[in-house]
Formats: sequence, C-alpha cells, structure tokens
Amino acid sequence: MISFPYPALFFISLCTLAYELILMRLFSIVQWYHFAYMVISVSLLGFAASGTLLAALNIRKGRQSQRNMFGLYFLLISFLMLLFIPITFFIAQKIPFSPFELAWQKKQFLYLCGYYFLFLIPFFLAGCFVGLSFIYCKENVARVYCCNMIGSSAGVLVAFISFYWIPPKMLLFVPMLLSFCALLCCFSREGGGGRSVYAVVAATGAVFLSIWIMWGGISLNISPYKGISHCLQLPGARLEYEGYSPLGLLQVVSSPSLRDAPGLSLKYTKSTPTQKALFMDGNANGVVTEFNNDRSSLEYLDYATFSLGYHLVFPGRVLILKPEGETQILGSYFHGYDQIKAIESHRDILSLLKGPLNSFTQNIYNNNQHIQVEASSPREYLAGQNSRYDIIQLGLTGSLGGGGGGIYATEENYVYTIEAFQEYFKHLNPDGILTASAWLNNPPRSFLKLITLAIETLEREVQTEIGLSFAAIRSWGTGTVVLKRGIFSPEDISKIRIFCEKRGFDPVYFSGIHPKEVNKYNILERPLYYDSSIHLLDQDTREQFYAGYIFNVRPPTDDKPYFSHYFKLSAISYLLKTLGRDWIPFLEWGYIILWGTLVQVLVFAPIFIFLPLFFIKKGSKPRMLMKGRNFVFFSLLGLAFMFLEMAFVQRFIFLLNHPIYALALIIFTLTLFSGIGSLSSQSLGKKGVYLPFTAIMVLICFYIFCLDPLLKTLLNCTVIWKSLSAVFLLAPLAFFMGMPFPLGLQVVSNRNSEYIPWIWGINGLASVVAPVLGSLLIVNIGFYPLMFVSLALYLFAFLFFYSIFPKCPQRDQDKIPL
Amino acid sequence: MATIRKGHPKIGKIIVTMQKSPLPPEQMKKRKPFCFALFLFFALFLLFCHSSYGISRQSDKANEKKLRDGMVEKQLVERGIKEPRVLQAIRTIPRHLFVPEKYTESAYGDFPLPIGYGQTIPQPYIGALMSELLEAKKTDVALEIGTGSGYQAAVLGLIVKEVYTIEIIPQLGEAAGKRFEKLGFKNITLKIGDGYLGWNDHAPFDRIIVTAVTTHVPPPLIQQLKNGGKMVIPIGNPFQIQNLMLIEKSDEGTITTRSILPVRFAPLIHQWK
Repeated sequence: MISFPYPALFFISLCTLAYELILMRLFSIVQWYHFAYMVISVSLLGFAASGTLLAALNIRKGRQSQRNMFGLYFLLISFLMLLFIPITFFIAQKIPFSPFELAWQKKQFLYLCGYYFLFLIPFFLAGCFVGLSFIYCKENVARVYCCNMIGSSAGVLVAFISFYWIPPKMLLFVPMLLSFCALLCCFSREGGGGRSVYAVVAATGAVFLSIWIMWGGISLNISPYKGISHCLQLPGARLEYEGYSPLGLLQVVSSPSLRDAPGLSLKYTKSTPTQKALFMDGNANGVVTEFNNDRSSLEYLDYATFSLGYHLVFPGRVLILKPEGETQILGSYFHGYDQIKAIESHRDILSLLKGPLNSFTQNIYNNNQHIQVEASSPREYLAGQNSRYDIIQLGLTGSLGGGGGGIYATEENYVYTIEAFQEYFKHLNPDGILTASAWLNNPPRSFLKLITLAIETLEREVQTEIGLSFAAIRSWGTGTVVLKRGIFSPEDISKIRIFCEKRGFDPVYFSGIHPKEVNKYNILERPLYYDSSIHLLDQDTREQFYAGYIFNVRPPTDDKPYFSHYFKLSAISYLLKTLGRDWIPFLEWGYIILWGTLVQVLVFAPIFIFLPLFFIKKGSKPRMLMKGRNFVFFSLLGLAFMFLEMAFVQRFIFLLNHPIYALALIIFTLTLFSGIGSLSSQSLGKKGVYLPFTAIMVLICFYIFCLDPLLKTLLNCTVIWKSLSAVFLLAPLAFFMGMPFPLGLQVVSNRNSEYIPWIWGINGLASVVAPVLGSLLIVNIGFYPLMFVSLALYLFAFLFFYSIFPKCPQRDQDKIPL
Repeated sequence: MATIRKGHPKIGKIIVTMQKSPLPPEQMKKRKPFCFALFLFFALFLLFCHSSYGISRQSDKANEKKLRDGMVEKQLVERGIKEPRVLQAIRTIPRHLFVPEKYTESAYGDFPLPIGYGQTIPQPYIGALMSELLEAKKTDVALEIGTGSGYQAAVLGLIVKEVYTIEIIPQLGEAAGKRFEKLGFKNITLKIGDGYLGWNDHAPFDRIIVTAVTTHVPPPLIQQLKNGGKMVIPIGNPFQIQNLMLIEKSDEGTITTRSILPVRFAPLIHQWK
C-alpha cells in the first residue's frame, strides 16, 4: 500500500489557488475583470464535477490492487494539470469571444461555453486529486483538509508574490511549476506501476516545462475593444512603459494624436498640450500631461467644471484626493495655489510620475515647492492628521457616457460614501469648499447620486438650511457639486454665474437660482438635475424621490459602499419595457453578470447534486433522510464560510485600500487558520465538538459590534501593522471555521465512505455558488445583514450537526473517531 | 483479365467490354452525332447555369432590396425616423457591402457589427438617427470624423452635396475608399489622418458628424463648423451608443448642446413626480 503523498496534495492545492488567481489576472488583462469573474466562477464547477465523477466510478480504497492504483491516479492527475494549464489558456486565446456581442450573436454563447469547458479541466483535475485524497485517507479527513487548506493559503501568497516579480506572459509558469512539484512528490515505490512509469511521466513533464520556458510564455491577445488596443492604433503610437504589480498591468502609450480634456467647454478654442495615456489592465486610467514650466499651457483645465472651486476660494490650501492621472493637480497649479497636496491611491502611478515620466512633467511631482503628492487612500490620509484645507477636491468619477458599461457596479468605493464626505467636510477651514465631479450619463444616474451624496452629507454636517451651502453645475459631459462649510455669499453666487456663462455651462442649483437659468446651453428634454435637486433638498419629498426614481441613487454608506451600483430589482420590468432587453446589460454589466453567473451555476447545480446519488447504494428511508441532512449541513457550512469571506473582503478593503490586497489577505488568513483548526479538530473530545460552532457564533457577534471601530483605529497604521492586525483579528474565527467540515465529513465517512465524493462535490458547488450569492447579497443588503445571515447559517448548521452527531457510531467515547 | 476482375465490378465490366469488342470505324462514324449531342447538351447546360446565375443575382438583388426595405420599416420608421431623404438613402445603400464578408448575412440586423481593428459599424437606427439629427440639406457640405466602413459617409453622400471624411486607421480608410470607388461615389473625399484637427482646407462645414469616442469635442471642429451649422457626436462604448450629443451653432455663433437618448425613456420623470 502506498503512503499518502501529503506534499503532493499540498502542492496541488497551492497550484490550484495560484492558478485561479493568475487566471483571473490574465483574463482581466485580455478581457474584462467581470467576464473573467464569470468564466472562472463557472469553471470552478470542475470541483463539483470531480465529486460526481468519483462517485460514478465508485473508486474505493478497497483491495490492495486498487490501493496501489491511487499512486498512479495522483501521478497522472499532476501530469495532466501540468499539461492542461498552458494548453487550455493557449486554445482559449484562439476563441474569438467578444462579450459585447453576446446580446445579438448567438455563436458568442458557443464561444463562452468553449471557455467554460477549457478552464473547467484544470479545476476538475485538481478536484479529482483532493477528492481521491479524501477517499484514500477516509480515516483521517481532517489531516487531508488541513493540507488542502494550508496549500491554498500558500497559493495566495505565491500568486501575490508572482504578480510583483513575473511578467504577465510568464505567469502561467508558476502553477505549471507547482504541478510539476506535485508530480515529483507523487513518487511511490509501491504504487502506480513502479519506477519506470514514474520516470517516464516525470521526464515528459520536465521536457514540457523546459519547452514552455524556451518558448517564452504565452503572448496575450488583448481584446481589440479595450482602450489600449484602440490607443495603439493611433498614428505614431508607442508603448513607452510597462510595469506590473498585484494592482495590475500598468502601461503608458504616447502618440501625437492623444488628447484628453474631460468635459472641456465648447467655448475653449485653443490647443491642448501633448499627453501620454495611462492604462491599467488595458483600460484607460487617466493621462499625464506634458509640462514645460509654462502655466499658460494649462489654460484648458480652467474650462472644465471641476475648476469652479478655484474661482470661489483663493488663495488657500488645496487637497486633491484620487486625482486619476494628474489633471486636477495641474488645474490647481494653473490657478497659482502655493500649497497643493495630492493623495494618489495608486502607488504604481505615483512611482511612474516621480520616476520614468519625471522628465515629461519637468519633475513637477518631485521638486516643486508648491506640490506634494503622497501615496495613500483619502480616508487613510485624513484619519492621521488634523490639517484643514480651503479646498478639498475629488477626482472625476464614472466614465464617459457610461462607457465602462457599468462594469464597476459591484466594486467597493469607500471614497464616495456619506461617512467619507463627512470626514472630508470636517477637514475644511471655515468657508472652505469640498468639490466632487462625475461624468454625466444617460439615463441620468452617476451625477444624480453625487448630488444625493452631497445633500445628505450637508444634512448631517450643517445646522443651517442645506440649500445655502450647496451648489452644482454641469457641462455637456461632466457635473460638479460644491459643498461649502458656511453659506454661499451673493458674491459667490455671482462668481458661479459668471463661471458658467463664460464657459457655456449650466447651473444645476445654488441658493436663489431661477428655473430659467438651468437649461440654457446644454439642453435636456427636461431640467432633470435641477428638478431632482429641488426634490432632494426638501426632506419631505426626498424619500419619495428615492423610491420612485428608476435607478438606485440613494447615497452610498460605508455599509454599502457601491457608488456605481444603480440597478433596482423592483424596476426591472419597467426597464425592460422602456429600454428593451438588449439595453439593460449595458447599463450595469457588472451587476447583471453576477446574476448571470448565479443562474448558470444554479442550472448546473442539480447535475452535481443529484447525479452522484444514482451511484450510491439505494437505501431505506432513514438513509434518504441522512442524505438530505448531509446535503443541508455541508451546503450551510459552505455558504456560511464563503459569506463571511465575502463580508470580510468588503470590510478590509476599507483598511487595506485595494480589493486585491484585501482579497489576498483574507483568503490567506482564512485558509491557513482553517487548516490549522481542521488539524486541531482531531483532539476535540465528544463534548468538545460543539465548541467550534459556539465559538464561531460568539466571534461573529464580536465582529458585528467591534470590527468597525477597530478598523477605524487601525486606518492610520503602516501596511505591515494593518496586515498583521488583520491576520490577528481573523485568525481565531478562521481557526474555528476550519473545524466543522472535517468533523462532519468524518462522521459521514465513518458511517458510509461512499458519500465522500458526493460531499466533496457539494463542498465544491457551495464554494462556487456562495461567492456569487454573497456578492449579490452584500451589494443589496450590506455588510451587517450579511454577517447576521452567516450567523444564522452557522446556527442552522449547528442544529443539523447536533441531529447527526449523536447517532454516529463511536469507536471512542471520549474522542471523535478521526 | 484476372487483374481487371479484382477491380470495381462495374468498371471492370466496361473495360472488359471495350477490350472484347473495340468499335469498328463505321460505328465510330455513327457516334459523331452522339458527340455533337453531348456537346450541345453541355453548351445548353452552361447557358442554363449562366442564365440561372443571372436570375439568382437578380433575385439576390431583389432579396437585398427587400431586406433593406424591411430594415427601414421595422427598425427606422417604426422607431420614429421620418426624414424621407435619410430613409431613401438607407434604402439605396447596400449596407452588406460595408461589412466584413463573414457578417454579410447579418448586415441588416438590428445591431452593430464589428468591422475589425476594434471598430464597429453602428446599429442602423443609430446611423439613421444621427443623419436625421443633422437635418442636412442637399446643398450642404459635411465633414465626417471616423470613416470606419464608409457606410455613414455613403448615406450622407446621397443626402448632401459633398462629404469630406477622415479615418485615422489606414487599413479601414483604404477599404472604405475602394468601396466608394466601386459604388461610384464622386462627392465623397476621403483622407487618412487625424480627425481631431478637422479639415481646414475645406472648412467651414455645414454639418459635422463625429463617430470616434472622445472625452471632449475637439476645438478645431467647433471652429470649422459654420454659423447655423450642426454637429452630432455619439457617446458610449463602440457597441452601445448610450447618448447622442447634438451641437448647434447659432447664426450669431452661440453654441448649445442637446443630449439625445437613442431609446425612449420619457416616463422616467413622472415615475417620481
């Protein structure tokens, strides 16, 4: 009989998680993040499929010959993973899939299925490996689960480090190498056909890996519809810089035909300076403007709506938050402010401005005494200091004409929440102003949400009538809101009028505005922004407005920080009636894709749940009852685990500033300590088996009440401290969360080991359904309700476990048979 | 003989027959009419093929016309496009010649189509709406920024006196130029270059249509628009134009913009009122 290759299982688990994250990264570059999410989520059904196959084959660790075959299975699976990881990606790149054409090209669905099928293969193989491990070590499932979890946590670390050091085209080398390591660890003298088979497979794997390295990786075929592809077609376009990190692939393109001036007034008649375009994962991410120490070359920036603030308060200290490139920084510099502080949350962009592009900008971000740029998030920066400013300005949000197609609908954004605006407002000097701008889209949504955000912030912060401290203007493409710490004087109002008149902008609202002023230059069918502002400023009609407006324009809060989420489920029939089926997805791709993914996963789910049952011996009614209980128990566990993971990722983005950092840290902590918890579950006594459930529920209550204050306290710490604190905060919960699954599986395994593959499939299915469902829930109900949902799920799981456990035959009265 | 039997039974039989009784010269003479008949048959067959090809071409043309008429009625008229000259132009221009060959069958569908290089030919309704919004006269001179496949320029070519069109991607520009030549458009002038700067040599223009996505309206284009002129700019991603911006320059030179949503959304307002 072969000795179980725990190192191989560790490497396969490591490889699988690293592969998943790397695939997501590569897919985000060649296509779009949300399509990547959908494709990979559906492909993860490979895990569930592996459970079904193992149940169908009825593989059991029975006879000696069968036992020896396990060695060969492990070896072959590792080898096939090594082969299929690059091959599937290579073939997928040949598929002409274009997500935008899904609405009318039926063959695109065929291509999409091709993607699913291809990417399902590696996950299916990995699932088979882990499932077989559970079957082989059915007496010690906790150890297998521990090895699987610790391998997964290491996978997160490896992928994260790879993003820093390995160029995207070579990234697949990492999971390939890891599967090769697993292959090497599969060596067993007793099993799998002996040394000769092993030597041939290992040598072939080594040759394949070497060929792949010599080939130089896989060149990425970026979609022709991505910003970078368009830009590189411009005359004289040149890719000037390419850098990568976990934040993404940062590229800089130069071309004489590149000109960016967001929402520029139509009354501006002069030229604009030369620029270079920034792209993150192939998507436009602002521009860098050439500066030759001549301020007059920046005059065009005074013809944008965001410049209004500079005409109201001068001189003064300016704070620019999230400048997106450096348009706002140069805008304030043009006006002659001598104390400009800018907070750039994207460290890679800041390094670029201060490094490779410093000659293009005349070193303005390194050596200019008036400008200071710092890498931080707005909330983080303000939490650590008491300075006050005369102008606080936020960069432009949204995209031109909703050009992004709402792909950011489910992205957490803690910069645009009521709590964030309150924080900004508190850092204003008396008579200071806070300004924020958004692209206008049609039907109106993003700027309207900015208006509601401004109004509700003022309501919490000022004692006087809100309308006296609020102003808003719009051009053909952008809108700007201004919140004053104090009230707008008649002189201020006059300045706003002059600013708009000179540039062909329309006022949306200011104290004493006349309806005739609001729809003069940029004519709407009805002055919707003005009408909405009037309704929103009146507390009595505000709720009615939120309820009746076709989109969700309620201001985001820290609990639901989704500024770009406008979709209202209650309005779906109305939207279908007015916009038509083809239009809805384009309003909010990100959100629709989540629903689409959930539907697809649920369509496949019954196959993976019910098919294996045909292969398990039919039994009496109690046995059927047992099946139902098992299904419910393990589904509850999977859902609860993933819901908590989703909730913590959302919350820790607030602390760590970027989804990728939060995702990596949370998955790493949860999997690592769950693995340790799984191992510790072996030593639980009979009475102790209820401990993990109780501990989990108590800890969830603790997080509900204490997490937010703790995160706010930690906000100003260094990254290292933040990360260590996050691990320390989550470790106890993760430790206990790792126990219920092996405990339950062991009970089932002792009773009937035929159920193991089926339960493995259920676990795989839950790990696909739960993240998607969790994302939808958190967007719609927020963080706290999702925590309560998880609490309830664990409570039900506990009740089910209680109903299963006492009936389990015990080998030992004091210990659970592990 | 043995070898022959091993072959296909029928072939073997024929060969055997021929070998057994080769035709005498008299019989060969008798076969001449047969050869003539065979030749005649082939000639008639070829004639039939040619004529049926002609008929099929005619029927293809009739079919295309039918498709175009259907497109105009279903996609344009029913959605409110009224301008007769725009409708007539769209009825006339063979849209299928402006899309890549693999999309020919979908050319008259109610959706945009890729034309390569990350560009698209817009949904027929969007193109028609843009042309209608321009309210162009027969005597107008129009400028188009972003030729793409050349379809929009061709439609404009039937509506106005002259069309100047600029394409930044050489491959697309060249292909569009060939199409104009093939279809005999004499009033369309194409240039491959940067449309941002407009075409000062032929300015001012009565009408300007911009089909490239931009974060701002290029100041040179505003300058090259005649007083009393109109400009249309679509806003959105290449596959879904969410908004059309109509820029009007009054006789005094005052500029106003109008935001036009290509789908009906009027009841939005009284939902909450």
